[in-house]
This record gives sequence, C-alpha cells and structure tokens, in this order.
Amino acid sequence: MNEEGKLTGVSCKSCRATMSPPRPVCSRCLSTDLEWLELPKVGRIVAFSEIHVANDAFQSSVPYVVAIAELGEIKVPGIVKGAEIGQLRVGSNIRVETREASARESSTNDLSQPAYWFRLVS
Amino acid sequence: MRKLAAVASVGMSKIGKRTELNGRELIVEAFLEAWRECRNIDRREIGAIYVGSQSETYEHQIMYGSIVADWLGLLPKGSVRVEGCAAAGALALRLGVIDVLSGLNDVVLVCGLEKMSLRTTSQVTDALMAASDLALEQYNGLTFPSIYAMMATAHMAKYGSREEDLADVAVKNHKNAYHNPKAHLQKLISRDEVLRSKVVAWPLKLYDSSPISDGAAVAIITRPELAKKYSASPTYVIGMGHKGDTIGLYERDDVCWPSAVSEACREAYSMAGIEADDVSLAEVHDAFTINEILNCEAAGFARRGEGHVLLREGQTEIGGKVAVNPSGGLKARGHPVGATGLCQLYELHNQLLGKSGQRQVPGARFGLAINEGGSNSIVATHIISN
Ligand SMILES: [Zn+2]
Repeated sequence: MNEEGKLTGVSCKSCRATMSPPRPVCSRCLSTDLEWLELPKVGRIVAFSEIHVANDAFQSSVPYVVAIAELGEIKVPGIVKGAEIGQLRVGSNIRVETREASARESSTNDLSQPAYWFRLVS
Repeated sequence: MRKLAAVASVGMSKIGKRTELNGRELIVEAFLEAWRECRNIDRREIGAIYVGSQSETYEHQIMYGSIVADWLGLLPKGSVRVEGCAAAGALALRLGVIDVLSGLNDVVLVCGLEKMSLRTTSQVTDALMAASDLALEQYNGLTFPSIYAMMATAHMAKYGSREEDLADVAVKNHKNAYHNPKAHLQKLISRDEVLRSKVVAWPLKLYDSSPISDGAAVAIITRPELAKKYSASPTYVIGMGHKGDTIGLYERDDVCWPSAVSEACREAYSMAGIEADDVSLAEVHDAFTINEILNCEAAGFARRGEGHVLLREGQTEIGGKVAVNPSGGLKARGHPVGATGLCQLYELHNQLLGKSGQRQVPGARFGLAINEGGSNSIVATHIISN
C-alpha cells in the first residue's frame, strides 16, 4: 500500500522477480535495484474462509469473509466486503478497493481497519 | 542405517485444562516420569537443557530453561529456549540430537511446554497470530484457523475433498485418544457432531480444531553407544529433517501444498535410508483436520491431492497401511503448543516399545513425527526406530 492508496509490490530490475509486500532487496538475486510494481485492481480468488472466532481487534466484525486473491503475478490476502460465504468460489472474480488517504492516516495502527479489501464482481 | 542419538526415556504430563498447575509444575510432572525410566544416571551428567515454548503471552514467562535447571537441580548447567511457534518441541529435540551428535555432551534434557488455559480464546488466537505475517495477514484480520481453512477450500476446489473428510479426521483421532489416558479429549465423537459444531473459520469447525491445552513433555537424549547404560529400553533417532517456507500462506505458488513438510520428510527418509512405504506409524501435525490430510500427502503416504482418499480407505486407522496419530494427535491428545513436538516423540517411543495398550500399532519398525510452526513455515521431522 503506497501513499496514493495503491496496492504495490516490487519488481527486480536485474532478474524480473516480483514480490509483495515490498522489500528493500530482491529475495531471488539480492539486487537492491528494484522498482515499484502497481498491482492490478482486479483478480481472482484462490482460497477463502469465513471467520467466526477472531482476536479482540476483529471480534466485533464476525462473521467476516477473507480470501487470498491473485492479482496478476502476486497473491495477497484480504477481507471480502459485502459478501456471504455461499457466494464465493475458488476462481470468483474480485476487485480491490482501498481506504481514502485521510482515513488511512487517522486509522494508523488500528488493526481492525485494513487499508484495502476485496469486493466480488460478476 | 546410522543411529544419530538415543532416546533414553520420555515423559509427558497429562494434557488438558490443568488449572491447578503452572508451566514449571507441568514440566516437573513430565520429567519425573522420564527420570524414573532411566538408570545409572547422575543428574550432573546432563550437560545442557533445551526448552521449547511458543509464547510468553500466556504466563508472562520466558527463560524457562533457567527455571527447569533450577527446579530439577541441574544448575549450573546452561539452557536455551527454542522458538518456532508450534514446531518448538521438535526443534528442541533436534538441537538435543545435534548436541550429543557433536560430542559436546553425553546426555541432554529436551523439554517443551505451554500453559495456555489461563487466557481467553480471543487472546490465544491473537498470541498464535504472531506466527503469521504482520504486514498482510495480521492487518487483514486473518486467524490461524482461517489460514488453514483457506488451505482446505483450495484443496476442496482442486481435488474434491469435502467437509465430511475433514470431520472424519477428527472422528478417527478422537477414537484413538479414547484409549489414551493422557489425552485432553478422551471421548468419542461422530461425524455429525463435528459437522454440527460451531464454525470457527469455515469450513473448519470447533471439532476440526485442536483444543487450547496445558501440558509438557520431555526426553532424555544420549549418544547411541551409551543408550543401554542409561536405559533398559531406548529408541533411536535415525533420521531428521528441517525445512522452511514463507511466513505468509499467500506467498506460495500452491496454497494447499505444504512443501516444507514434503522436503523435511524427504530429508529424514534419506538420512534414515528408508522410504515412505516403510513407515507404518506416524504422528503428524494436525492442529486442524485439513493439516493431517495435507501432511499425509507431503509425507508420501498418499499421492498429492489424495490425502482424503487415503483416509476414506481407512488406511490411516490403527491397523491400516500407516497408523496416523494413534495418540489422538493435536486434535484430541491436545496441543500445548511448545510441547507438541515432544508429545509426538512420547507416543512414537512408547509405540515402538509396545507400551501403548489398546491403541498399540502392531509391528511398527519406524515412526515418523512431523511438527510444524506457523502455516507449515518451519518444519522439523524425526524418524524413530527401536
Ligand atoms: Zn532479482
């Protein structure tokens, strides 16, 4: 997640490996010559669940649906908003929504306010 | 086959909600059992202590090695706490084996413990989440049950496993634990009871999940040539593996393939000079029921994608091709996190010596233990022989 509210990874200029979360070094070749990689805003679900027992930070949100989504070459986990478990399939299409920058600042370190989430698209 | 180290004796506390005892008292309970099984041993011969424990969140206590050394009269011997989330117990064993194998010490004490029941389910959920990726998993509200649940939904979509298969892992392991007097959940359950139990992280339900347990386990490890001096009935570590994977499940090419388990099993088999087919006894990490299905594939007991088929055929029952989790596993024996790897050793040792009563696996020559931390992010495997 960068300042513009875009979900990012890094791409290695030496070996073209892609990684997320962003990191200062290429885990494949140890090059530090990396560039930002903006992840696509649409993708597909590779795995999902619906959480009924959470830690204190998220307990007020249960049940909530989570998934791992494939966004281009990179996979990321996230909450699927506005969906019930019965609507999800492996392969379902999702789009990524991100929190407004102002809201992100006020919720820094708030574990229950993720910076991005998924929504099912037909 | 080379004997890397001998297990002179083992001890394990009763596993469960041990309200009356704290962590250090649980270790004493486990140690005294192991100590009684040894002979010709002077405590001063124990050269070092390795203690597996997951988290100080539960008791606000680290430096457990120091307490163990003091309480058991082993001072001034040194100790180290071993951390690898739920793999801590097997990692402590591994370090103990490496210690005597190096020739540094003749005898070492390896232990593991966790005293978890003081905390609420929400607090335990949070303490365990520390073993997941902070950047993306914790900040997005994932829990460990949900991480394993995602392995399950991926496996179900890809290979056709079903919620009933997950339930049947629990039914089998409770059946085994019914005959284990030290098990946390010594009761039979039916498939319907599992399917109707409260959802934790769909498709995983309460009875798909290991309980929050208190417990400790220990082993006295020595050099193979000293085994008969200290023990009338030793077993031997003949192979071990230690592999890793990303901390985040989402970072993997295939989210329902525990590649570190596969690699660690291959390493252990190769060291022991055996193959998966030679193993008819296994204690595998089943913090959640899907875990056992995936680990049976990774251990080579079933082909990739067919762990649930092996289960359906009854081959993982006691009396089947490979008895998986005759103790009841994490699922029913219980899962005091830092102790679990040594609880597995406790079962294999006693099974290989024919001391397991009504849950005895007949004729086993080799026992495999798979212990993992995180979402199979750190894996330690051991092969034990009699
Ligand atoms: Zn590179």
